[in-house]
Amino acid sequence: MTPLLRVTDLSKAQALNAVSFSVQRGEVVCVVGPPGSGKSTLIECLAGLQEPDTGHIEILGTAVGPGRRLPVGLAVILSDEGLPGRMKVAEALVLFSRLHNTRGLPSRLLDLLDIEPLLSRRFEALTEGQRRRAMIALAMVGNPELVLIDEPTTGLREGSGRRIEQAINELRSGYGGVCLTLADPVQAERLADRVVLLRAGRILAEGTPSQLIQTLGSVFVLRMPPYVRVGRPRDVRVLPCATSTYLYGSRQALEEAAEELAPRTGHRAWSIRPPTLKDAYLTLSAVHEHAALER
Amino acid sequence: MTGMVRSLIRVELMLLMRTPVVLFVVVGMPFAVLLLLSLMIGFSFPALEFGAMPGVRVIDRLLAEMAGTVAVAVGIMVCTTHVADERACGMLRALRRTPMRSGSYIAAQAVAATALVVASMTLFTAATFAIYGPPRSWHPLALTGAALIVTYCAFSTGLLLGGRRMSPVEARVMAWCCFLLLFLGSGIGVPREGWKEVAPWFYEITVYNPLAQLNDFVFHAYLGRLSDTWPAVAGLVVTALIANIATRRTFDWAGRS
Repeated sequence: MTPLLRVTDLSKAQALNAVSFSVQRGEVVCVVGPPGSGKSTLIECLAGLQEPDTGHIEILGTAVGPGRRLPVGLAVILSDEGLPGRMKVAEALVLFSRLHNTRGLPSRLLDLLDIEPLLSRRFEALTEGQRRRAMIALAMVGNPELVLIDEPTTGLREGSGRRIEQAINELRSGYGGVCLTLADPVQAERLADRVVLLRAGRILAEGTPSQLIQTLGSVFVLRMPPYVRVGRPRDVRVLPCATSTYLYGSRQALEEAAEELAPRTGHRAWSIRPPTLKDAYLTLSAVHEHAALER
Repeated sequence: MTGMVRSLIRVELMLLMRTPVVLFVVVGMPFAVLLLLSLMIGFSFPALEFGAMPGVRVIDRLLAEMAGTVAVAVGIMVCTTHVADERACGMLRALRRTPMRSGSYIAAQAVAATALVVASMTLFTAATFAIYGPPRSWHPLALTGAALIVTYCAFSTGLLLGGRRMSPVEARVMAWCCFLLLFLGSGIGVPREGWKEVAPWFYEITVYNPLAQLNDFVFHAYLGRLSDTWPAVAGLVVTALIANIATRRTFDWAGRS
């Protein structure tokens, strides 16, 4: 089956390095990476707003590039885009459904995005979360086959973020496919069928969330505050990060390590949990950095 | 006209009418110029006939010249800044992702600009006729036709400027500078010949000012005559056609690269 989106060896100076992935029909693919990893550059290349140095982008069977019109059936929702502040949400919905020659937004999505209370309001009067919901609604009125969304929930309050997540889940069933960029692996684990882990413009790994978590092996995770001097506990791998120190190992090894550390920290309620996509991302990033240092 | 373009025109007009600067240009500016003139020279001055053309009052000249001036203001100031604003906020990119043809957007802008000029002309004409009485003779069709020619020239310029990639602030500065240069050198409201004695250098400027040429053309159309400036106006129309071709090649929808 032809993928809805096919990216082949996409490179852009100082932003992307030979990025390749695809989005199949009915799939939600999350490109996950920290700020500066190249996510926004990637989505802007896909939207035809930036010209890649090399590589090829094919959307709905059509090659995409700057200056070219995007194929009909593609919706793009960029995080910094809006509509004129003096325009009302209802006017925008009517206009865009006319332009797409559709009957407007399905009522299920209207409810999910909670657009009804926003209809009479101007864009300049919307909060950031409301603006993003309205922009998603506008992109949806064209019944797109493929939706590209750049960081849909970054900087939003939980309520708005959850509504947007629900809407994205709805897109999976009602539309063709979704490709979104996210900074938070936890959110990607909830939303994605497949995840592309991006760091410094390179793809670290790609697969379903469970496949990526399995790359860690059958381990458990213990998270410590960064100020705790962990040392080198037996049978435990230690991964120091900016905000936490992560310990990986069997449940028993981690329990022993926690017991050993308790007198030093005065804290005994450490929780040992199964690994998440975030752990996989942190580990893969650390391995990548280590490899880069060795090179 | 398709439903798509009709919807776009309606929205564009609504957006424009909600913009204070547009309201000032369309509704306020003609009355502001009339008030300023009356305050400076006297409230009876607009009703006086000026010697060179018997039967033609100052207000007749002002009415025709304001039609031309509003058309130029709408084209250069309003269109330039409106397109730049729509690009900056992402509206142009959003429109470009719909099946709408590029020409539909341009057509909607053109119709919205024309509607603003016609509305302004109608309002100012009705008001001045109510205050000073109708003129002895005038040619509304010729006036409208001439104003539409001016609108076309100005709109083409505005679209060319607005189509360039620049921030809304840059667009505003450029549009206002262009318009003010034209406006201040146009000899508006006062017959250009009047400057010959008072300030010859200013008269020279008005001779080469495109707005002065266009206004003279509109004024003579109002009287049912062909202005001596018609070759200049024809030149401006040809320039506008060339500007349209240039706009087609240079119009920036994305606003970033």
